[in-house]
Amino acid sequence: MTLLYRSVLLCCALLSCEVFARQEFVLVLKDHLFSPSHLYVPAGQKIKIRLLNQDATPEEFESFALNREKVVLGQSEAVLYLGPLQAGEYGFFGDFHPDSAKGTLIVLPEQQWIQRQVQHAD
Amino acid sequence: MLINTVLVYIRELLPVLLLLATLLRLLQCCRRWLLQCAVFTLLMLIFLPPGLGDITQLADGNGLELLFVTAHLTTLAALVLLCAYRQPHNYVAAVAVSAQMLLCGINLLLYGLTNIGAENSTESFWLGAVLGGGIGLSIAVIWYQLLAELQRFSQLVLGLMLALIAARQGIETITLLGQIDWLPSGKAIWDSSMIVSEQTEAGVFFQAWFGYEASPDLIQLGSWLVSLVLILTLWQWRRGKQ
Repeated sequence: MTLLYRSVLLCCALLSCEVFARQEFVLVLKDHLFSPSHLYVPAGQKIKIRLLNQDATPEEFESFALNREKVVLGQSEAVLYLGPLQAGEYGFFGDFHPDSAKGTLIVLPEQQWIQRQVQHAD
Repeated sequence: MLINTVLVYIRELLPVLLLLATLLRLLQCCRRWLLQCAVFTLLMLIFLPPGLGDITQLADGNGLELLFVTAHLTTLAALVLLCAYRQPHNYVAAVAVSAQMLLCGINLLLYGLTNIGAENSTESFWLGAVLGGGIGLSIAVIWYQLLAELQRFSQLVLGLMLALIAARQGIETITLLGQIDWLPSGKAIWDSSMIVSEQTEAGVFFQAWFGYEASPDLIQLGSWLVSLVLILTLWQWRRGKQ
């Protein structure tokens, strides 16, 4: 029983480490527009995207390429877990306002991601 | 706005209507369970809106996904029972459809919240809702007739249709659990979006029917196959006993 209890605790600890280890990115929705409309993330890593809906009405983040469909209520936030992703471009849109709420997740290979980080640090 | 509303309504209503049409073919003797579904939907529309905000914030903001997972698993379990019983029970069918109505109802409710009362969009919203509902119903009627025709050739057709609908519940459950990070997301085994994109009419229909996923990973495909084989096996087993 003790062994089982310890195993469960270990699994929980590993799981929480895994979740907290994710790099976090923020995507804001305002006036039915995503900002940034082009979000750069690294390839081969698990990431977490915090969706902040600053509009009064709900929106549904939808991406066929990413297999994701997440509702975020008005004046509220939601979290999306993604990855590890292959390098490339993945389109997403707001399902309730597809004409205006559009964006692209640009997944960069490791080298390009590091270069980008260095450029932005400068 | 109008086109978008039509598309949203068709996409959300189709899974319920296809399931309803298939179950109506299966349970031709009694239709009382339809009344139970209607009562459930009415109660849901009355009691759900005030609590929707709280539901979404449950489990670190994953409350809605967990509710959807429960609804998909309830439908799957109900379909398993329907196939396993020698004499299918009507209340099981009511549970299956009600669980799908819950999913569809929440999504349509959220979509309605974004449009009703908004400037210049209320009229387009209602017109789109009526058109979308009408198109969805028309597809369901054609589906019902198609099943009736195909049943003449083999009873297995109905079992196969139920199995494909059950497979949709399986793959949707896995996708949602991956979305909230309860399951790992693997690499896509293939990408058939060049042949049938999920954004096309065919893609939307296939998604509503059997949970079409253009780029599934191994766990998604596995859950789809397990649900399909389970229902087909139960269907054949029950027919063998009759």
